[in-house]
Amino acid sequence: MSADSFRKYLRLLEDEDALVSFAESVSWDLEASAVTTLANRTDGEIPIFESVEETTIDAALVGDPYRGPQCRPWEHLARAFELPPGLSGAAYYEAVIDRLRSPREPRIVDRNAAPCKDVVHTGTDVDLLSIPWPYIHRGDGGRYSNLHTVVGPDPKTRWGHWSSHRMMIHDDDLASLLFLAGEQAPNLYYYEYEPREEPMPVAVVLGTEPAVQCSTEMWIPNGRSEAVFAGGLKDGPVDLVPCETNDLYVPATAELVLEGRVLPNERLDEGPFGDYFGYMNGPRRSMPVFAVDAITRRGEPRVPFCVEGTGVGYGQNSSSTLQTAAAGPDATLGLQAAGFDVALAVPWRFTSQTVWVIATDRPYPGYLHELANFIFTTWGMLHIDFFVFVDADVDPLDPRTVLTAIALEADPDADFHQFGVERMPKVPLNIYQTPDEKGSADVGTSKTKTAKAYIDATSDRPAGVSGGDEELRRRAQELLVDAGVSSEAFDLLEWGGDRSR
Amino acid sequence: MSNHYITAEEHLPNEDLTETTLQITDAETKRIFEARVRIARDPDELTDPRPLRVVAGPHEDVSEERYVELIDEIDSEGIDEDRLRRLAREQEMTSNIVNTRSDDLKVVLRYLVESGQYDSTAEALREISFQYLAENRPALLETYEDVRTEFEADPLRRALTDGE
Repeated sequence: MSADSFRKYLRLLEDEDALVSFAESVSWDLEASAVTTLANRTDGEIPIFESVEETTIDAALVGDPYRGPQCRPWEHLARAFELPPGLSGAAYYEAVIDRLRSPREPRIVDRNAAPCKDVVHTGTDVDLLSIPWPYIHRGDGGRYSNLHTVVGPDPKTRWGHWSSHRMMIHDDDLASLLFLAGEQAPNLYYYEYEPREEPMPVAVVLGTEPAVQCSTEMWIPNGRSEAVFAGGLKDGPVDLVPCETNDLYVPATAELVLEGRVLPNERLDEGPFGDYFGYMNGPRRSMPVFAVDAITRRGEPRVPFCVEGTGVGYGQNSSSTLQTAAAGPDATLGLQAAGFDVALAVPWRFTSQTVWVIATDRPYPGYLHELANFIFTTWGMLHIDFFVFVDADVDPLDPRTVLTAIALEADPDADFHQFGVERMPKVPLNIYQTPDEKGSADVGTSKTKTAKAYIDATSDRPAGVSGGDEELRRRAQELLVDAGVSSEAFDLLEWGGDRSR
Repeated sequence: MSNHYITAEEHLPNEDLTETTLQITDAETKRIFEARVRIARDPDELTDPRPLRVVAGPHEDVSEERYVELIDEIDSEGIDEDRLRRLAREQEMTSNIVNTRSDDLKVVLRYLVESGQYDSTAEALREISFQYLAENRPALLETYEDVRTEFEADPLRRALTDGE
């Protein structure tokens, strides 16, 4: 049975000696995030802060719980899904893709059987500030929730749409949500609900089972439900339960659920925030208002958070791991389903979301341009700046082989392609554009535009010349044996490396 | 609640000491709320000054210290304009007598009248109440003034009133 709750996932980490518990009181104000930052940078255990200062309820903070080991980021999640131990990156992708090919419908459970309803507060009993939201980076505009699933309505599925949008806490029952137009839930708000002057029902769910958090990070096709892919991923149905104050369904085993409405024509400040690029990012923007109508939770909720910005470079955090271990396999499957000869699509390990490496065959001229065009016009392209295309036999999870492919195969004159001619939408969190270049910050949408690009680091040798590769390898092996290396290590020398024979 | 607050430069009024509605952050709890405030560079210009860090720049990484005086915190719900409109509408159809049913208050008000400070107990109650609200709930009065202006400018209402 896979880890079908956040609690079980934490126990699994504990069994693997990958969890460290802090019994002494810790402050939500920078201290919890500082400890988590160190753990993320040093590949340490995942910290759980059992006692948080100035918190009126018994609640714990968990720093970057979905983070995987730096050398094998998918490892904890593979265990959570009960995949065979020790899988290589490519084998993990294959196993996850297999699971995603068999979606499972969720199961509705009675509210009495839903742990997320152990404590229910509605109306004037709602107190958002009773939760120990962390203040994550010095200079953030406020305390944040940034590792959760935003459940919104979806006219095409009964189970709603799941996505991720950071949330800045304002007051007892108000928060602002980073809703960037161009993404599915924000589009529904800006172009459907708000013009009708109708509040959009939303639930923000924290501490979900790993399959739910993973599918939240995936680009599920419009009209399909993340809930059924989460079921496929865990190889069993996800338990859902109706909300108390609206018609949405939320994962029943969650630690904490905020039910509410995104109000029409209302805005509150959002940001600055140190986001995944690794830098503080401003200015504050006017973003839609989330008015909380109910808080339902477990008795002593475990509240997860992510120290964004620590997943760049060699560090891992929850969001960089989820990109590698969830968004990557999902994108690979999506491209294969669209008919492209893609072996693996993988986010570049050191940039979290900005660069992707795609290992692919190149069956005809113009194929890569067509592939880039497909991705940029169908995916959540706001976050991606460019792709590196490598041959299907290059492992995109291995940075050395990718850099080797770029160095050897990408002709600076012919293989660096700009795409979109400075008019493609871009998430305004980037640091290479000035506020003026990003456009007005007053509007609630992203006006940032830039060009996209791709590097063709596939080999230019025509298909069917692998014999030539073999000849080169044989020649290399001969040279190495001549230089004194034992011939036993080589497979192509018929005379066993003994040239005198 | 702490004694130290944060706001963004873009929210500040152009003139110091102007009474304004400002979004401020409690530096200790990070609670963000709106309040009626006065801002000054010199704490001696305010009655009850508290330090206010004003952040500025594209990433709010520069700041300067000013002082703020909180006059009236606006709760998280803000002022409910719809409720004010409904009450104003209902007031058209009902008596404008406010009954306090308090012997003590009546004695005190009559004292103010008999000592020549007011012409009537009604006038005393009106003036004292409005003075209190102006000092302690200015945002409520300001919003009501807007609602009242909007209410009286309503063309249908104006046509009906003119026809009477």
